[in-house]
Amino acid sequence: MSILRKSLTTAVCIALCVVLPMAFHAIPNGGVLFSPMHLPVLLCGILTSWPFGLLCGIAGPLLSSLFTGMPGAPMLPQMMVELGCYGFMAGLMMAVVKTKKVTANVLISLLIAMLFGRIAAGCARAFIFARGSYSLPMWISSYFISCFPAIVMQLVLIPIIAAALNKAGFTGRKMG
Amino acid sequence: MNLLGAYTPGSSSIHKLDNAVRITDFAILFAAFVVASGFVWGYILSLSVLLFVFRMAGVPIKPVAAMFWRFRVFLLTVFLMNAFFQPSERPYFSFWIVTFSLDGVLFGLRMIMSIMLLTALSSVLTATATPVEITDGLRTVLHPLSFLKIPVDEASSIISIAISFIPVLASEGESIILSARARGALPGGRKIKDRALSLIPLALPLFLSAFRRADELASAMEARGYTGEKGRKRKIRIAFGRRESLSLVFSLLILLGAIALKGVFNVHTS
Repeated sequence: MSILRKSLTTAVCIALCVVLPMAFHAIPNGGVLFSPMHLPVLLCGILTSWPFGLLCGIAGPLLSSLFTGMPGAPMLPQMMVELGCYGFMAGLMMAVVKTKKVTANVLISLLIAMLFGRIAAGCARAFIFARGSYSLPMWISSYFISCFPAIVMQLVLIPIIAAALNKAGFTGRKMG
Repeated sequence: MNLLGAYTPGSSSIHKLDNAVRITDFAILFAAFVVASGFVWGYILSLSVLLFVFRMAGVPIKPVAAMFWRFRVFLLTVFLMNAFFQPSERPYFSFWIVTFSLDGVLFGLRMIMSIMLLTALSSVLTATATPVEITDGLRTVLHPLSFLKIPVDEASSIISIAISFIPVLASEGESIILSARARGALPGGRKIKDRALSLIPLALPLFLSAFRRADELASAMEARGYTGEKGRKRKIRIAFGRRESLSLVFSLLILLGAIALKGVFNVHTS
């Protein structure tokens, strides 16, 4: 995939970071339960590469905050850290993980990226944003229990979307 | 499109500020609000500054209050998460990872107060500047990073393209929802689970349509010989006048005031 196509894929994913949550916020607490912004960021990392995934993870929440007010300003830095790590690690893992099956590559990259992003966001909150007042139970409840539907949705939807885009040739390359 | 702080055209002095200076001012005020959080006099300072900024910008407060009411479930979740998962030496009750204590309740209230103050402040920024002006300001503020070989201009171009995609994709999403509804393929329902599940089938066509647009645009740009931002020079222009310098002095004084208040009250906020 050329740099230009990667740039435009990233631009589209950033735009989706604004558009998707608008639909999910119609559901009470839908943003927290389904984390719709995670979908385009992880997908961007998987389809392009880590620098573009990182940019999508940083710019997506920023633009969403500017356009829709969500995430609110106090949550914005920690979301930028979390999503930046997702995009970065998803892209990096897609370059590193090489199994024979594309779906396996995507799933492994996704799982590692999701875990890495959660650990990084937890560390950022524990050491920077909520220093001294953040605990392991809070981390477990906010990153695993309250957003469990989001984890399931991402693990199901992202491989399907990536496969569909790959099959349709929109990504301009065969993954894996 | 904006749920809060939708851009309100106006001729206030905040509207007329240079984009880069406005971003810097708000960043300093954000820092001041963060420093002033956690103690009563700090909140009084933040609230006074917020009301002053709202008045200066000529932005109504009512829509922001209405927005907080709309997000009451989110705010309640934040409060409960802090009230029930905050470790404490004096818990009212404790079971597995759940700990309920007065410390947790107070921390939850402080958290909500900070969220509301900072969100209200950010709404003034989005009400006095369009997203394009904000990204332009960010591009100027971050431009020095390009000397460290960080591709700020390339990133800004991608963000500019993303902004132009937002209304297109939003209307595309609406069309997909309407067509699904016309086919009876969107059950919806009253339960949260049903409504969420009904949105999932919309994601795939939306993603495919978005990527098709990106692909078409890439082909068109390649056909016109565009190869990227590399080698392109951009002129940085900052209109720095009396208004800009006054606003910067005001923001810095507030930050110093917050630091001084924190020092006077010897607050060790957590």
